[in-house]
Amino acid sequence: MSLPLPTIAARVITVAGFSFSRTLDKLMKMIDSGQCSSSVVAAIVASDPVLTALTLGRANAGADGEVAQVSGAVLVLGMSTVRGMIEEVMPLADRGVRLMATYWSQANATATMCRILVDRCAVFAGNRPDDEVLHVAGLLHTLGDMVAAIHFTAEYDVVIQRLRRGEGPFATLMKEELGADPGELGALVARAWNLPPTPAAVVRHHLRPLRAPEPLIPLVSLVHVARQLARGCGFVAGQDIYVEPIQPEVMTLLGLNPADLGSILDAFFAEMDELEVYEGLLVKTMRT
Amino acid sequence: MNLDTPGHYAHRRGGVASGAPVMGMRCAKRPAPARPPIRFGRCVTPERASGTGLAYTRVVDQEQRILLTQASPGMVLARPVRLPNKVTLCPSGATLDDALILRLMNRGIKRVMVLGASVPQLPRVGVEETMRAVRERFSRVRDLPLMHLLEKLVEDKLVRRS
Repeated sequence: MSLPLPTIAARVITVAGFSFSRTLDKLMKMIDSGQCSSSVVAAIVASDPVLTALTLGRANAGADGEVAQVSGAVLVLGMSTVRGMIEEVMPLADRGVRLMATYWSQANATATMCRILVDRCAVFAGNRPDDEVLHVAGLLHTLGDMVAAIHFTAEYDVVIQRLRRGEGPFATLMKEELGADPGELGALVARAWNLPPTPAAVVRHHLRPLRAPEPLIPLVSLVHVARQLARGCGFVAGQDIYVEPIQPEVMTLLGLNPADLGSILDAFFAEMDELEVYEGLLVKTMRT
Repeated sequence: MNLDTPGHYAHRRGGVASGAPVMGMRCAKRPAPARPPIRFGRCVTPERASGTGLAYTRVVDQEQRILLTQASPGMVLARPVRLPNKVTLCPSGATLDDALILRLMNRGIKRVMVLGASVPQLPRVGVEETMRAVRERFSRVRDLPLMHLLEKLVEDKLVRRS
């Protein structure tokens, strides 16, 4: 049974952040030690999609301009505010840990792929986005899926059952069961958490990048392609294992040559060997 | 005994007495072959060295390269932590604690080699399993030329890696 969008929006307002207890404990210890540099805290926060979203949201609430980088956001907030924010984050329970490990890995894989892809896209020649902006865009794109998996569990479970039966793509089934597809749900979360416009547009439009606001279409398109490449390489989330089509118009818009895909995948696998496996659970849940 | 030198065999239990025979001299007992000294290890498998009748202990070293953010207090460094200019920050055999982990993080160290295998690693997946998973992932988009090309590329890369 799908819910009206305003009802979902009302529920999303009270949605709490969530993360792995180990990550939260580690951050608390580091901040409490008083000897930890802000760059180290920013690096750990930036490996976690939800903590990244919360940090950026808090920083943008009080900043004049758009704070799109995690390192800048940690500096704006200060350690005590970051600590207070971490205290409010909900540690994940059993089911959530296993499921979120896969979402975390998919988000980090997409972020890595964004940084690799950007140098192969003709559209970014001369106006290449900052690496941190690319990382945040790739990391946060799946915010809607993650919130659905943790806070709308009944609808999410039905979607997964229908997905296994081949009744349609994940986004369509989410729309039918919940009343909002992952992009729409992510946009509601982005608004509730006060995300800046750039990552909010990525979250909202990554499934259909050509509908993004005009100046952000190249960046959203990049995330769209990076997501499908990462998923194709095995970084799928939970039971949502099926690769979705990459829109050919998006490849043309980016100026991305399909002949480059081989070398892109080589570079990606080399970087992913270095990726952290969250809580050691990625190994148990990754398909390949 | 040098604990830092890599090796796979422990020193003998018992065996040749001190005052090893000098080359060229007649000796009543045949000397045991030289063995590298013991290093670290958890899995100790006793073996009989063929022909000597002496017991040897085989040490299976287990080292793991992990991200520093995965490190926990109590882990033991298997190799020294060095800066790019070869300055050693921490020797092998040192036990990590929260303060040391934090200091290494602040120095920009991202990965360390530790003893044992306390952090789960990706299991080695066979070729058949890899191909089956790739085909399942692409099963709903295979009829699109671009996605078919991508499937073939991914399959090729993953099979090579497995």
